[in-house]
Amino acid sequence: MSSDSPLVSSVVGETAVLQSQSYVNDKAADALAQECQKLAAEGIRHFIINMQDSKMVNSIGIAVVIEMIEKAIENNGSVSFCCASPTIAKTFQIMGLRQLSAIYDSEEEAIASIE
Amino acid sequence: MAEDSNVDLSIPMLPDMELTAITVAESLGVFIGLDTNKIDEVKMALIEACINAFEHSKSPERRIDLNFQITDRGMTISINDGGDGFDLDEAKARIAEKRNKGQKRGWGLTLMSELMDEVEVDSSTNGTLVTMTKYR
Repeated sequence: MSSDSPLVSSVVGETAVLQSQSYVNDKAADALAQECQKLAAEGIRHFIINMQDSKMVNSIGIAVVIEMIEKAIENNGSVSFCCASPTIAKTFQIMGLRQLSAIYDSEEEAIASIE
Repeated sequence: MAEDSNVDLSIPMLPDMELTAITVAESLGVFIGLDTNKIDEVKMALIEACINAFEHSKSPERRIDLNFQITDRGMTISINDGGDGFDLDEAKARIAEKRNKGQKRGWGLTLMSELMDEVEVDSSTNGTLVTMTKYR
């Protein structure tokens, strides 16, 4: 399976790795959610969001991301994150996202957690 | 600290204009020697303050006025939306009710409070003034 979306960096088995944008606002989060929805329709259940390029997020964007996580969980899958800055990780914590999802230091660790 | 380290900025309520405000916060944060995490927390809180104003102020001018003040304690940012104001207790009750119903929005004030060291909200029919401080 392959994807030509610039947001998708790899798809292996039932797991896709996506790259988040520099500023995760509502538009950027919607783009991620739509991509995950497309991939889910192709059989992908686990999503890893690599946040190394993300400098800032806002609460509207995170709200969209939380809905995306809930859909993945309903589909017996998961959404996890890697390479998030300490402030983004703290923001996720405050908004309760970490109750639904794990954050890993590296993409390799995130992939290994699914395998 | 010299008085001329104050910065005034007026931004229109246009999409992503909050990113203009955070460039000032970042420059001043570096200037006073805040570490990267503290600067990022200020930027994130400021984004929330701006988008709250954009979404809720009903300001006829469709602009927000910001003042960045450097003091011995740290950086204080004031955000004045020029809108029609709101009742803070009512707003908090509404947000709590929405969260109980599973809605995901309404985190702006909580994030500002958690990410900054001090946050004050003063709202009247002349507008809402949010004042938030990050210590050095």
